[in-house]
Amino acid sequence: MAISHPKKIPTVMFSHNFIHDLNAGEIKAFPWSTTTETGVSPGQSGSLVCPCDMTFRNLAFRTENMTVTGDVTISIGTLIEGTNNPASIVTLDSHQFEISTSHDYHTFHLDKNDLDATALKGELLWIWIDPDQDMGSSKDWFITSIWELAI
Amino acid sequence: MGRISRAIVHTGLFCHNIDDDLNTSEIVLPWADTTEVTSFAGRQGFVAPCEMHFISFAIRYEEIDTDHSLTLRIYSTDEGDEVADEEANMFKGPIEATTDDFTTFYFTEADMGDVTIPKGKNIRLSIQANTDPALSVTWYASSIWEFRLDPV
Repeated sequence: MAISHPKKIPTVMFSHNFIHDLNAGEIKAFPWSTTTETGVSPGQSGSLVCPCDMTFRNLAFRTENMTVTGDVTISIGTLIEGTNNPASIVTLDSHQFEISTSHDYHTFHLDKNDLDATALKGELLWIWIDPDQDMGSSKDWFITSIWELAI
Repeated sequence: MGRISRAIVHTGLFCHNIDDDLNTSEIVLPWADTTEVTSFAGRQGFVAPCEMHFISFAIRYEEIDTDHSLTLRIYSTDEGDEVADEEANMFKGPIEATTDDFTTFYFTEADMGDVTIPKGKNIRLSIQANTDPALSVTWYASSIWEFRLDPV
């Protein structure tokens, strides 16, 4: 009987931590190499150029002290080569979940079943959050993502 | 049965994005923020925690004003000194103002050769255009490396 070993797919990990007072409808792209969140448009903090195809694997999202309850939507999107127009950014997938006052210092875990997204080589890549209401005062948001590389 | 030991290989992807008017200076790229420099004296390096092997480098342009070529250089600095020794270089070009806006260019192992940096050395990456390519714009750059952990 053949023994099958799990296929070894190279994976990489990023820290996207930032501090911000997230208000209703205030869409913020996660930083890739700094702690500066941005809008969802081309720029040095919120965009990553994909050196190969990159498939989303996991994301951990940790809160601090929550004083309100609201829904947040996490999305992954890309921009093809040949344009720098933010209107051309395509949302690959989104996942909404509720953060309530009982979720102080809680870590939410998203995986490929929640966000089915592959960014192609050469594209710019974003991850962003869209809260449906004011999530309270300025807070630290702790975010880590894992991606599979097609190399 | 004897213990079988082998190196464990991890992969790392670094974001080297910057905002800059490149001109024709040699620009040393950041590894942990978005601040570039034009010397080898700053924090724009990455100390190899184990043997590291270069896989690829991607750079995406915004609007290009002038045709040019772009050179990527990889340096390492030995323990015990502060001199950046060039390990490899390769240029891409011509990169053209009329056709290459918002395009990604790649430097691979095939371009750069076998670049393997021993544990403890400090790695630096630089880019340099032979003609000023554009005004101050964002340069989107990423690199992929293999980390070869010693067997314990």
